[in-house]
Amino acid sequence: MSRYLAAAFALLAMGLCAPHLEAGATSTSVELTPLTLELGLSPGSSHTGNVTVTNPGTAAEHLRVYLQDWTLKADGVIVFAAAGKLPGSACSWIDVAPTEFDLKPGGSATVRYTIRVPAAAPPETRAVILFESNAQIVQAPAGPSRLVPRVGTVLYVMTAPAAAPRARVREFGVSPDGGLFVIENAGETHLRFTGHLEVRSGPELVRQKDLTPFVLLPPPFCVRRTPLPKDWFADLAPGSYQVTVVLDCGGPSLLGAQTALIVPGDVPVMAVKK
Amino acid sequence: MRRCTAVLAALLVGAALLICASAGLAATSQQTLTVHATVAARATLTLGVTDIHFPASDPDATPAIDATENPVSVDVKAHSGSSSTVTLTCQANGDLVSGGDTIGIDQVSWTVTGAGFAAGTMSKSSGVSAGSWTGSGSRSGTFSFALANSWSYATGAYSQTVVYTLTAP
Repeated sequence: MSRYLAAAFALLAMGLCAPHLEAGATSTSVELTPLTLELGLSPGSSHTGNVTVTNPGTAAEHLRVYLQDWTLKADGVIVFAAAGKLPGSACSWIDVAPTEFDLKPGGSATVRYTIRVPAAAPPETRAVILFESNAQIVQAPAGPSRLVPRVGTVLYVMTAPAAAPRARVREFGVSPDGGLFVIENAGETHLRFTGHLEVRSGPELVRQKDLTPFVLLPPPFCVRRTPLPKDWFADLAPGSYQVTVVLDCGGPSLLGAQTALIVPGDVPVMAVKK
Repeated sequence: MRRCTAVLAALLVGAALLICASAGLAATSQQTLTVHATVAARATLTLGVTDIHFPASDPDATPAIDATENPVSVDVKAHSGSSSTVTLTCQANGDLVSGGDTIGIDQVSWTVTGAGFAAGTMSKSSGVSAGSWTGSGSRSGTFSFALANSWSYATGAYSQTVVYTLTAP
């Protein structure tokens, strides 16, 4: 009899433990569209739109929707902050609904956002609508460390008419050990850059490398530092080179900067016939 | 003579083929089909597990404790513009906490496999890059977590929440 009782207790214990073990073992997945919204809105106007979130996983998800501020560090890493904490926050003008809901596997939901732009809005403000999964699991006072996935729709709210980009290269230097260029946005709205780097020996193009596209926010988050990898220059033959960075942000002209690169070593000497 | 006959036969066959082809063309009408396809920007983030555990270990024998769930699979899928960058960042909500005791979250680091994924050390004060990709694609990788072990840790069951955020600024 006592053996059966022990077995019953063991089963009960397993039953109590099972949900916790399952939560840890289950994968979690969130899909979102669109990823970025660049909205040109008049001061004093309002705009309503939709974001769609899907659960492509095999387990049900409970999602929490909320707004945060964001900015970019000089190395390009995105940083999130509580709503209203960063300069240029649009969070206080935006409402989202619903803010919490369940999604079955394969299910999707539409979240509506409304932006009410104040009459005295600055030229550009930003926010991010975040969709956080796993919100149903209440954190135990002690237990495992939890990994929470979230996906965000980044919002740019632009109220100023389009103006010519105002950016400048503040610093540009290269050596056989790598390089660095620093660019600054002096305008009032963000800029999207693509570009490449050219290495020339006299008129001859020796090397060309594409730069990773990047976004440059307006002040005060307006500086971007881009390190150039060593392997772009390390295997160049000894000699002197001109290195040019060419950047395009969609303006009427390209932005560029040039510097000299000297690769030390024995430069081959041409034999002279007597 | 035989050679002339062969050439003549070849010419006749060629002419016949040409006539057939012309007849065929005459019987068909060409129309243009314009194909429209819209690819909306979207992204999916999938984490292979939601909880990770670091088992208690002797700091001398195990100076770095591997999470029992290692390697944790991470999938990032994105449809984005060719010059758009999709980024994955990691930020902890605080230090590892057990009652009144804490272990700095910067004692947890991770290594990666998979193109574009970035190794790092956890932070509670700032987001740390965990990956970055340009343009559309399906990227799979793994994170392997390790906790730097120490005799100075007070006994307890510590926990914290770490948020992985996928965006395309």
